[in-house]
Parts: sequence; C-alpha cells; structure tokens
Amino acid sequence: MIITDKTAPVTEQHSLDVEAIRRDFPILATQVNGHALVYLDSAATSQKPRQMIDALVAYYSGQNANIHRAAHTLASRATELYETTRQKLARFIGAPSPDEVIFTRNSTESLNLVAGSWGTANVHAGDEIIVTQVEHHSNLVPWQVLAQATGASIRVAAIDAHGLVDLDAYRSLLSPRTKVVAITHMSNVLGTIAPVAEMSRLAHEAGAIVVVDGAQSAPHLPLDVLSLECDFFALSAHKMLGPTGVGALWGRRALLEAMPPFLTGGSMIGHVDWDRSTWAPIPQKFEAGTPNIADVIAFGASIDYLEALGMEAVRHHEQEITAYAIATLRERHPAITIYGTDDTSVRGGVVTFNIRNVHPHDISEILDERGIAIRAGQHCAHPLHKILGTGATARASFYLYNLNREVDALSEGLARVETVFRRVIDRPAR
Amino acid sequence: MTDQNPLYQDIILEYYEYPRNRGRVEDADACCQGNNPSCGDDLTVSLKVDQATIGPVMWDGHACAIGEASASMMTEAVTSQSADTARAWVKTVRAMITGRGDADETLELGDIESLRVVRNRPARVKCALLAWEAFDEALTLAEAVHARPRESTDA
Repeated sequence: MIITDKTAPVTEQHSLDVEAIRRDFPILATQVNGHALVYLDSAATSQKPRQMIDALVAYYSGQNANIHRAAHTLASRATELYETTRQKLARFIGAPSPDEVIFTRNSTESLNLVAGSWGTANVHAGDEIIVTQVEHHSNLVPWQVLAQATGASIRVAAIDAHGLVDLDAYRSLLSPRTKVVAITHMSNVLGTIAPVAEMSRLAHEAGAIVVVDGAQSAPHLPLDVLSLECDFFALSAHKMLGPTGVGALWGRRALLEAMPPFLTGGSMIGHVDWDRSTWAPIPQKFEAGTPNIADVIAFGASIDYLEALGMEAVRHHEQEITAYAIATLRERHPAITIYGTDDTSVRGGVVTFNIRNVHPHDISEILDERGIAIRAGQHCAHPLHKILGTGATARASFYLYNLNREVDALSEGLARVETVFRRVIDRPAR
Repeated sequence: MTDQNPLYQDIILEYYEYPRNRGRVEDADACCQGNNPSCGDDLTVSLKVDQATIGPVMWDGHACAIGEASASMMTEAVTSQSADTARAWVKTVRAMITGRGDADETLELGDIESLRVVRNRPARVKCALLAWEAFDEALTLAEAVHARPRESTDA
C-alpha cells in the first residue's frame, strides 16, 4: 500500500455527511457573480470551518498574550494553547514527540529551513540532491540555491506516462553521492501520490536523507511520518482548514538536535553573551522571535475538525468525487485531456485538464462567471509543465466539503466554454 | 448570439481562431519575450526596422484568447508605421486598457477597440498588454542596434 501503513480498508462507515459539513463553512453560502459559489480550488487553499474562525476570534478576544516569557496568567494560558496545537499536530501526523514539530510560516519556509540549516551543514561540492519531476517550486528552488552555494548538483527522478514516479529511474540515480532526496508526497498538479516509504528505504540504503513536501498530502491522507520512513515532513495549515501564515516541519530528533539554527534572535537561545550564544533545545531552537500565536492556536481547531471526521473518511470521500469527476468530464467533454493516472488509489483529489485549443485562463474566466472557482496556470510547477508538453493547465481540486453536484456544475460550465470556443475546438490541436 | 459573453466578442474569437503574423521574423533586429508566470502566457515578438519604417513584426508563443488576439492586432497596427506612430499606438492601447496615461485621439482604433473590455478585469489587463509591452521593448532594442556605429556591429 502506497499511502501509509495506517490506511484502513474503506467501508460504508467511512462516508462523510457532506451537507452537514458544508454548514460549518460560512463561505460556501456566499454568491459569486450571482451564482452559488462552487469552490474547486482547495489545492491552492482550503476554506475554513467556523470552529477555526471562532478559535481565532476567541484568542484575540480573551486569550491574547505573548508566549514562553511572562509569568502572568494570560501568558501561561496562551503558551498552553500554543503547545496544545503542537501536541495535536504531532499526534495527527504520527510524530513520536511534539518536540520534533516546529512551527513555521508555511511549507515553503519549512523546506527552506531544512535546506538552509541541515543542507548548509551537510551538503558539499560533488554531492547530489535528487528531486522528482512533479516537484512544486517550493521543494525545488531551495535545493537549487543550496546546490549553487555548495557546488552540489540536482538530479531529477522521472515520472512515467501516468504521472507516477518511475522507481527504476529513481533507483538508478541513487549513489553514494546522493545526500538528499526531496519528494512531493502528493503532486499539486497531477494529484499523484509518491511511494514515499519505498523511496525512503532506497534513499537510506544510499546514505541520503529524505525530505517530504506534504503540503498537498497532509490535508487529504491519513498520515504517519514513521510509516513513511522519511526524515523531514513539511506542511501548511491553510491547505488543511487552518489559517494562513502557519506551517510546520517535522524532523527526526537526532537530526534536528544536530542542526544549526535557521533564524536567530529572541526565544531560540539558551545563554547569550556579547560575543556568543547557546541555543535552546528543540523545538524552540527553530522558533526565533514571537511566532504566529493566534493562528497556531486556531489551527488546533482545524486539526480537531479533521480528526473528528477521520482522515480515512476524508480520503474515501475524495477518492469517490475524483473518480466521479474523471469519468464525468471524460464522458461529456471529448476535447478534454486529463493529466495523471485514473487510479484513485494513488491519486488525490486534483483533476488537472486542458480543452483542445482553449487556454486555461479562458476556461477559468468563463467558469468564474458562473461562480465556479478553479485554478489556471502552471501551479508553481513550471518544469513539470514542460514535461506535460503544455504551457498551462486548468485545475479543479476537491476537499471534504465538495459534492458531486459541484462536479456537474463544472461540467455545465465547460459546456459553456465549448459553446464560446466551438470553432477553435473543432480545429486540429495547435 | 443573444447571450454573447462581453469578454469573448466575435471579433476577439475571430482573431484567436485566425492569428495574424504569427511566427518569427527571420534575421530579426530584435526579439522580446513577454510572459505571465502565474497563468503561463508566453509570447515572443520579433521585428525588423527598415530605415524609418517598422516591419515585418510577428509574434509567436501561447497565451489566452485575449492575449493572442491582442498580439495579432498589435502586429497589424504597427507594421509599416514610423517608430513615433508605433509608440503612440502602444501608449494609446495602454491608456485604453489601464485607464492611465494619455491616448492619441487621432488614431483609428478599429478592431482594437474590442480590447477595452478588459479594463474592469484586473486579471486580464496583463494578458491584453503582453504583446504590446514586448513590442515596445523590442522596438527600443532594434533602434539601439541601428544607432550603434557600423564598426562595432561588424566587430
């Protein structure tokens, strides 16, 4: 099984009450351009349940204080709430200890932390860093910068025709020179899920560490970082019902303890003298300055929400709607190209497509007139689009609050696109 | 069409279906790329300047219907014009689309008038201006090439 060893078999009891869930998301009741919002852009950012919004308001209304310093009651309460989210998140991703969970601004910052701290201390000239062809810029550019600064080089593991990592090609890239394997767990373009556990085992045999960009997987898959056998795992709160401005990095204790700090200053120190300082133990060593206290605390409510539903149920729901979307779009829209595998056991709720001779921006524009939000462009994955042989794509992405009738609305919107662009669609591909 | 989309007017769709001057000018004096990293638009404008007259001007690449139609319209507007008139065209289209700067009221907009619809759509302004901005840059480059003393171009 590719996702994690914790994935439970899918049964009837795993169905979500999506209509009830939707009532928890105030934004889903809004109108856009005179139509009920059909939000199919959760891979960019998820919508927020009122439980999270309420927690944010409650913090600023009754709990606001700085953490880890003053002895007064509010400060200790805020500290406790902040640390409670760390515990919840550790449990949610299967981390052995909350100390191994570091709060950052987003996945990108988490990955920069690994490249900047572990990478600078451990990667040298002649070393190699392996990335996969589906990497988001966030798990590619920090490694390029590290490679340029150290004289290391980037090797790229190819994907097959279904958008899945080609394990033979990956295996052939591994060597004693490999220092880092950077993997996107779930592609934000193709939805494809990388076989992280197997890739990690192979990387470890070669002596490399494995850094996983979990920005797309953490919101959608049951997670267990130990089963994934990786060394670092990055995620963003805003894609998993949480507020913007919060990300996290999980790392193995021994690695985190040996790493130099990333940002320095207040809160991350042990003793400070004029000419030198010592560092606080993890996780404080990596949380310099006043963190995003309010949003971390509110993120705790998002984790509670996901855990109450159960990630197996979330995953099951998304597999169903994704399969429905692929089948529906392919059946009703002959000029469509859908990228990536049809096999939803190795694909998340992302459906990226093109309509012959119509630019994705035009597709998105016409859908927007009907209140349907999708993403058009290159989705922060320029090199992948070169491999797909297209300048841009349109992407519909689903989450726990989406319904099949929203897929139908998307299909009706695409029918309108086909009406407007009929004549160019009927011509040979440009 | 009674419920014609205000953005996708027939004139824009016609230009999108039948691009004008698409391709690359051979031995171009200058070549400039315009891209829109967020939506993947990527156009290249190439041109020659012969004495005081611009032409040929071509565009290549991919963009949305607005971007491609606008690119074709641009090539038709500036070909065979003087550099001053071509610059007046760029300024006029920029003013029409962004509402900023001065338009040259003496220019006959014709089909180009159809691009005015993007004015209230901030996300499309860049699409519509992409080829015009690339042309503006390419023209400046081409003029610099011609202004250079002959010795240095031969060197």
